[in-house]
Order: sequence, then structure tokens, then C-alpha cells
Amino acid sequence: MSQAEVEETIKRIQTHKGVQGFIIVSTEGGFVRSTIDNSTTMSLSGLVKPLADKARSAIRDLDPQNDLTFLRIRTKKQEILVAPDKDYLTVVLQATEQA
Amino acid sequence: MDIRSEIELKKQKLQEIRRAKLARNPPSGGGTPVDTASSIVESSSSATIDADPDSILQQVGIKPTSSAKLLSSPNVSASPSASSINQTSSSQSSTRKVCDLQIVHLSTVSVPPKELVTYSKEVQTLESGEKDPTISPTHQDNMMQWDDEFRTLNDPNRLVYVSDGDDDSMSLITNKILGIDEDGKPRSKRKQSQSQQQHLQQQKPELTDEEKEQMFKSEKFQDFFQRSARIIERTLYEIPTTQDIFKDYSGRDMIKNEKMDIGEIIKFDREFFDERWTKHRIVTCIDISTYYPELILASYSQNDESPHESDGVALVWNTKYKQKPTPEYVYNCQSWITSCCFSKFHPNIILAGTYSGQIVVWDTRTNKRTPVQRTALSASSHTHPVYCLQVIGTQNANNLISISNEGKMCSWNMEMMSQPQEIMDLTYKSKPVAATRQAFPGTDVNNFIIGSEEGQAYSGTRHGNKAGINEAYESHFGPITGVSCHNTVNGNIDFSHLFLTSSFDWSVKLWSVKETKPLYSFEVHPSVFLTVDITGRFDIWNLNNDSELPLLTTQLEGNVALNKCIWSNNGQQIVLGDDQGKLTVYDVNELLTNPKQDDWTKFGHTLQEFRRSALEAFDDHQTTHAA
Repeated sequence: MSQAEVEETIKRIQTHKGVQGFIIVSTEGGFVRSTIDNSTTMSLSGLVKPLADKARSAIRDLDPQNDLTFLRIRTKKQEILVAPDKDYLTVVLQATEQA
Repeated sequence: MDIRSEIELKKQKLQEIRRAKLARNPPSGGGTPVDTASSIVESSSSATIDADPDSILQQVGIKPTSSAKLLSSPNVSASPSASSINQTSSSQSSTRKVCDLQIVHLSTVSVPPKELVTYSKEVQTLESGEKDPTISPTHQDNMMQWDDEFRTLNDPNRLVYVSDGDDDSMSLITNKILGIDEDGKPRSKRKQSQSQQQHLQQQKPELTDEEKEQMFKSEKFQDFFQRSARIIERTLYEIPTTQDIFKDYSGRDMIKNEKMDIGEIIKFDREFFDERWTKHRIVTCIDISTYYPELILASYSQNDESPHESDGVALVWNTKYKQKPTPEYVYNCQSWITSCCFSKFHPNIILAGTYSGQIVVWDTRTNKRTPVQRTALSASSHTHPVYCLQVIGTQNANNLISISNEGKMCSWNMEMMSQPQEIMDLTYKSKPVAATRQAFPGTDVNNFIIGSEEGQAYSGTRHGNKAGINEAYESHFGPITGVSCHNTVNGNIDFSHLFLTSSFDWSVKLWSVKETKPLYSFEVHPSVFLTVDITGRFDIWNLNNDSELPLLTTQLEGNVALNKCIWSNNGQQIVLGDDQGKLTVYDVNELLTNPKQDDWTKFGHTLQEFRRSALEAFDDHQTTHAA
């Protein structure tokens, strides 16, 4: 998978209906790739990462063999999709469909 | 006598002293104003020893008993004024004998300093990313702060959880209780600045382009990205439509009844198409995974429009997803793929035969698009296009059988693809057979049926003393494009000797292995089969209903030429492949796919009718010749 293909995938996700942003955060804290403005990315990555860590630790406390694989936060305005991995974390912001 | 005079003298002296005393006393008593509180201290200090303190106190307005109380328990007094303290001290000093002490029961009330209990939750597992040893646990807690960025929580009374470093956290909290902020700033502003500071703290300096590029190239990132992109895409495309958890059934938006009408035999499900990978390519082969029935493997020919793309493309699509536009997996190889299949006994292995004669193996467990294994291009294996590829056998003993165009049949051990286990040249009457299609009836591993370019169908055996092609069947007039055996094994009548062939001569023929004449023209249902043609039409036939007309004819839009069709494992879906790189999935009505009890016997009768009519036709033919 070349970098062009990575970009292509990101673009495809980004252009999906309702998607507002796509961020990849490394576990060291810095963000690797983002499609939204810097300040929002900063605050999002800074807040979602510890949240995901906390969620993971909660899951592991309940069952040490278990692990967090995905995190969806549904809010009134948007949905935050978090796909945590070993070294990175993907965060996607999606507008919640208005009924 | 002189004693008497002496006494007189002394009396006189005393009287003089008394007089002098009296003369001295009146001015001192009048000089001290006793009604003002401020002068009490002075007066009491200057008061003579013999003066009655009680009377003095009474003059001021304090009863002697109260002073005693004050003396006995001075620490209980909540807020003694300065004057009364002085008063008591003065009275203490002055009334050493007068004050009568009494035992007072002393009750101690201990008021502990108000303690605010704060909990700091810790992540118990070690964080792999945490590298800075100076960051204390409380600093980590700071990251859990509520933040202003979440504007939906705009409640002024919301919980604010702020904790600083160890030493000043307590004071901060107390300040918070009192409603005062540390440095007098409005609380929200302070919090904002604090959170901003934290963001700056935890944000590592942004990566340079070079570092980013390096990261993008690393295996770790590639692995991660493929996985998470897949999850995200599935989530985005699928879950909101299929499982809308916020669906309101109160009546406003009633869902449409998805169940098929009785009269509807098939229903369009979806189309698989990818702008980059399938455009200008022809679907060459379709297969459905036995482990994951929702996965469809499709191989495509080379793309004439863009020579830069790799020739061989095989895609794995998921029929469960109705929206997701991208394939689950993409595989490439150098030569275009003529046939492909899932390994029947291994969920991760995908096999493909190529135009160059190579057989390639992909593994879904690796994130590589290139084959993990490929056969050598040598005379010992195939050197012509491999049009037939099939995995036969059982879980523990299975082989890959491949037949190339020049009539060479190889059997492979899938663990050892460097060399074929067995090679057999397929010849009929010393002529090599250019095989285009092969089929093994049922679960048979020995007998096989092949269709050839010259239009003849052959049956043969792999083992035994007559290994090779045994019999030929009266031919089509064009190359055979498809061979399919009767696959149902659970019926009460065995039809596995039946097979179908399709050909370029626009005909489909039904054969029996036992007879060399065509019977007529099936799959899950004993008598139902599916044909497609180049005009984009596909027909479903049910021989129990009518042997002349198909049960259903559907024309695909867009002037496409269909060239591949397959039933899903349970027979409830049809997958069609066309020359424009599109896969189309149709749902099939269960009436058609669930055979009734009598369908088997009915089909037996139908077959007998075919035989009779075939014989009659033969007889007619004979008589006309004779005449």
C-alpha cells in the first residue's frame, strides 16, 4: 500500500456523507494525519486519546483477556468513531443524521 | 503614771493618723470615674488591696458569679471581647480569696478541619506511550478535565473537576468551595487557560514531512492503516443504514416491508464495482467462500486502458454490506487471472490460475497484495493459460487440481507449490484436449468432466488403470464455456451423473455421464439452473415447469455481456459477472431455492421424458434417412 493509496483511502472516507474529519493520532500523543484545522485536531486528539485509554483500561480491568476494539460516541450533533490500535488511533467525526 | 501619759500620746498620734487618712481618702475616691468601661483597667489596677473587687465589679455591672464562670472555662467562650478578658484577669489577680471555685463539668467538642476527599483514578496498566518520567500521575489526571470544547454541555452548574499539583490542590479545592479562585480570576477563564496549557504540554512538536513519510512507509503503520480504514469504512457505510439504533417506530417513519412478494422470483441486491480496479476489465471467474458465505472472490482480466496497472486483479467483496463501495481485499499479480477460487478447506487462502500458466496463492492474513506463493514457470507444470482450478478432497486430504489449455492436468499440494504432485496429459484418441472447463461431480475426487475448445465434453478418471479421458460426449458446435455438475447430494434420488455444458453455439445441453447423448439442460434445486448470455440476459430454468422456456428471463441494463454466473452456497443469491467489470448480486425467492419433497421424483419423471423424446428424435432421424 503506497502513500498515494493511503491518501486515497483517507479521501474516500473524508468525502463520505456526513464525515467532518479524519485524524490519525499516534500513541505518543502527536497527530500523524488530519483533515481538519489544527486547533480542533489538537483538542480532539488530546481529549479522545485519554478517553480511549480509559475505556481500554476499564475493559481490561473487567476482563484482562479482553481488549477495546472500537469506540463510538453518539452525541446530539455528531458521532465520534474511534478505532484504537496498538500504535495509532483513528478518529472520525461524523455528523449525526437529523431525523 | 508615765505609762498612762505614754498611752495618751500614742492615742493622740493614732487619731492624728486617722484624721490624716480621712483627709487623704475623699479626693482619691472622687477622682476615679467608675461608670466608664475604659477606665476599669486603670481603676482596678490602682485599686487598693482592701477594696472589695466584687463591689467594684458590681459597680461596672458584672455579677461576681459570671466572672467565676469566665474563670473556670475561658476556652469555651466563643468570642470574648478584649475588655472582658482584661476584666477577668484583673479580677483573678484581685480576688484571690473571695472567689469561690466550683467544679464545672467540661465537655470537649472536637471539630476536625473540614477535609475534602478527592479521588484520583489511575490507569493501572502501563502506558506504552508514556515516556516522560517527569509527568506525575496528577498531571495525567489533568487531562481528564472537562473542557469548554464540548459545547453541548453548556450547563453553568456542571461539575468542574480540577486538580493541580499535590501541594496546592487542596487550597484550590477549598477556594473552589468558598467560591473564590486562587488568583481572583473568573473560574471559567482560568480553566480555559489551564486546559490550553495542557494541550500545549501534551502535544509533541509536530512531525516533519520526512518523519511522516517514514512513518507512512513503516510496516507498523501500514498494518494499522489497512485494519482501521476497513473498520471505519464498514462503520460509516453499513451500520447507520442497517442498524439504526435511534430508529423511531412510533409511526412517523414506517419501514417498508422488505420481504419479497410471492410473484417475484429474483430481486436486485447490489452491484460491485470499483472505479480503479474493475473498470475496463472483464470478470473472468467468480467464487464464493465456503467459510464465509458472504465473501465473493472475483478475478478480472487485464485493463487495456491503463497499461500501468498490474494485469492480474482479484478482489474479495462482501455481500453482507449493502453500501460499502470498496472491496474487502485487493490482490494483484503480474499476469491476468483466468480462474480463481477460495481454498475450500482453509479460510485464508485464495488461489488463482493465470494466463501465463502460473498458479498464485494469496493469504488474507498478510497485508500484502502480492502473492505469498507462486508456482514456477517451467515445463514441469503449466506453460499455457490455466482455465480450470478446483480444490477437491476432504479437510485432511485435499489437492488443488488445475488444467491448462494445452491439456495438462496437475494436482498440487497446497503446502508445496514449487512442484506439482502429479501430472497427467489429457489426450483423447492421441489428440491433446484443450480444456476450457472442468468439474468434479459432487464430492468425487477421481472422476471429472471437462469441456474443451473443440466443443466436446469428456469424462475421465484421475486414478486407476484407465487413468485419463475415458469417454467423449457428442459435441457442441463451439468451444464449451461452462461445465456444471448436479451438485445436490441431499436428495433422495442421486442425480450426480448429470451435468450441463454451455457453449458458444448458444446452446446448453444436459448430459448424463452414463449416456453419450445429450439429455437436456440446474444447481441447488434439483431441476433449476441458471444461464447467462452475451446480450446481458440471464435466464433461470426450471425443467419441472417447462423444458422449452425459461422460468424467468431478465435483461440487464447498460448493454453488458454477461460471462459468468454462480449460485451462492445456500442458493439464495445469484452472482453475475460481466465484461465491464461489474458483479451483480440478486436475491432469489426461497420458493425457487427450497425444493419440495416431490420435486425430486418429478425431476426423475422429466428426465425419463427427455430420454424418450431423445430416442424418438433419434428414431425419426433414422427413418428419414432411410426414406
